[in-house]
Amino acid sequence: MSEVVQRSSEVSGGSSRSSAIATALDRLIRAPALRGRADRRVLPAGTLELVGRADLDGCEAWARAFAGCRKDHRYYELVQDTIEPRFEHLYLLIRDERGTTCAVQPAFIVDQDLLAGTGRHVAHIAARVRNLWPRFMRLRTLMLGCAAGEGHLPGTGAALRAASARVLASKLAEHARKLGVSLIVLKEFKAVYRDALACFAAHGYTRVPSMPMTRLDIHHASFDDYMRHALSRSARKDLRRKFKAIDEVYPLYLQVYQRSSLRFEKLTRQYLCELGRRMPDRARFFVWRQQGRVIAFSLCMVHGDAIHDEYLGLDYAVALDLHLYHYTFRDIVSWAIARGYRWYCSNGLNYDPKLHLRHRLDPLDLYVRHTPYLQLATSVVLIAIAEVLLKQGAVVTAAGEDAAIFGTAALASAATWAGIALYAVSFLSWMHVLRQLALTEAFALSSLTQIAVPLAALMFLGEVVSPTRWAGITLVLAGILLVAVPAARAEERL
Amino acid sequence: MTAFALVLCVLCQVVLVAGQLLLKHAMNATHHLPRPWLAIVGNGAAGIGLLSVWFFLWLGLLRDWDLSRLYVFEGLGPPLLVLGAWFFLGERVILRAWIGMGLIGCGVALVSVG
Repeated sequence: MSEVVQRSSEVSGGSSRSSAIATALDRLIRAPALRGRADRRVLPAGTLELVGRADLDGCEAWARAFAGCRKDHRYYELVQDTIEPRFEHLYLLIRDERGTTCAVQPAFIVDQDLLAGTGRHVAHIAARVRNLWPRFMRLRTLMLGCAAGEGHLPGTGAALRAASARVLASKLAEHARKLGVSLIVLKEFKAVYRDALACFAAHGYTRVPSMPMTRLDIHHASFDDYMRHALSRSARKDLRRKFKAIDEVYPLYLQVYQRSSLRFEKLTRQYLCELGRRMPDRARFFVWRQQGRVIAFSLCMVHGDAIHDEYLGLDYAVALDLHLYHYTFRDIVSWAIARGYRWYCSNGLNYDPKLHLRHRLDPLDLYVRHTPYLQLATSVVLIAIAEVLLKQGAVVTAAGEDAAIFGTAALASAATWAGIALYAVSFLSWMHVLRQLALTEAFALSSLTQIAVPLAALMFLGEVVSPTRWAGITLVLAGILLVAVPAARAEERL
Repeated sequence: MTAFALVLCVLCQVVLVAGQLLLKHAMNATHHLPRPWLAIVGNGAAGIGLLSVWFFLWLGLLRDWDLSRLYVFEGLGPPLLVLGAWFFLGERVILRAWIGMGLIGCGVALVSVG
C-alpha cells in the first residue's frame, strides 16, 4: 500500500451511522464560515485528514463518494491496484467540526516531468542539464482526482461538493507541505465543477485548461441516420470509402500507448481483467478480429445515457490501411444507438478525426498551485537563458560596431529580442514571487543567478570558466547572502 | 579586463539600480489619490531612460567580454542599495553588510583580473 504521512484516528463505519452522517453533512454545509460571502481568511469549520486505503474499510462516505459517476469508488480502488506507474495513492477525509467524515477525495503523488511532451530540441537541452542536475524540471506533485481519468468532487449534492471544495481549498496546501510536494494539481475537473472550485482561486490556485474530452450526440435511429444528419456529404463519402477497406488485446493497447507522445498512466493486463470483474455493470469491451486474429479493441464504460470510449488498442500493422479507428467508432456508436444511449464521449488527443465526425469539445480544467520557490527557480532559469540569448545577439552583430560603447546593433538579431522577451517574462515571474515571499528571502535566493548564468555560459556558449573565476563567483555569492537582508530593507526605504 | 571596461561595468550597475528605484517610485505614486502625475510620468520616464541606457551598455559589454565574467558585476546591486541608503538617507550600515560588501568586492576583483 502506498505510504501515507498521516493516519486516520477514526473512520466512520457501519450502516447504522447513516443518520449521523446526514447530520454531519448538514453541519458541514451550514457551517458559518462556509456560507455565502464568508471572509476567505476564516478557515472553514471542516477539517481534512490524509489516510491510506486500508483506513477506508467500512467508510460509508467513501462507498458513496462518487455514486453518481460512471467511475465510482470501485474504479479508484482498481486504479490503485493495477495501474502503472505505481503512484502514491492517498485519500483525504473531509470532516465536519465534530469529526464525522462527510466526504472522501482521492489523490495521488506523482514525480512529474514538467518537460514531458515538449519537442525533441527542448528534451535534448533538458537531458544535458539533467546530467548535472537530475531533478531539473521534475516536481513531486500532489494530484487530486483520478490517475486514469477525469476528476470529480465527492458527494452527491451540489452543496456538499461546494463545502468539500472549500475545505480542500483552505487545508490542502498545509498537507502538501507536510508531504513535501512542490506542486498541487486538481487533475482534469469538468467545467460543471467551476462554481464549486472557484474558491481555490483565493488560495493561490490558477485554473488552466487541460486537453478536453469530446462528446458526440448520437440520438439517432442508426449509424447511417447519424451520418445522414450529422455529417457533410464529403465527410460521409470519405467515411464510406474507409469502410470498404476491411487473448491479444493488451499488446494492441501497448502499440497505441507507445505511439503517443503524451503519456501519463499506463494500463496493465491486470487492469483490463479486473475492470470487467469489479465493475461488470459499467465496463464494456469491444473486440475486432480479422481472420480470427484480434486487430482492435476498445474499452468503454456506460453510465446514464452516455457511453465513454476510454481506451483503444490497435494493431498498427493493419490499422492505418484499414482505417480501423473509424471502424471501431462506427461499431461502438451503432451498438450504443441500438441500446438507446444519447451521448458518445471520448477522451482527449486525436482531435482531428473527432472534430470531423462532429464531436463537441468537453472542457476539462486543471487547478494548479505551486510553491514560490518553483516560481523563483523559474525566474532564475529564465534570466540565465535570457542572458545567453543577449550574448548571442551581441556577438553575431559585433562586426557592425567595433568600438561603440552601446551595443545597439544587437537589436538586429532575433536572439536579442528573444532575450528581451524572456527578461520580461522573468520580471513577471519575479513579481509573482514577491507576492508570496518576503523581499529579504527573495533577494537572497535570487542570487542563485550568480551560479546559473555562468553554468549556462559554460554549457551553451562554450565559455571557459577558470577556477579563479569560480572562486570570485563564490565570494560574490557569499557576499550577496550576507548583504541581502540589509539590501532588501534599503530597497524598501529608498 | 581593461580599466575602461571595469568602469563601464560598475557604471552599468549604478544605472540599473537607479533606474529600478525610479520606476519603483513611479509605480508607488500610482497608489496615491489624487494621482501625482508629474511624479509618475517624470520618474517613470527617467527610470525607463536609465534602464535603456543600462541595456545598451550591457549589450556593448556582452559583445566584447565573456558572459560568465560580466555577470559577476550584477552582484554589485545589493551593495549599491545599501550604500545608497547610507548616502541619501543617512542610514547606518551594519557590520554584516560591510563584510558582505567586502566579499563581493573581493569576488568582483578576482573575476576582473582572473
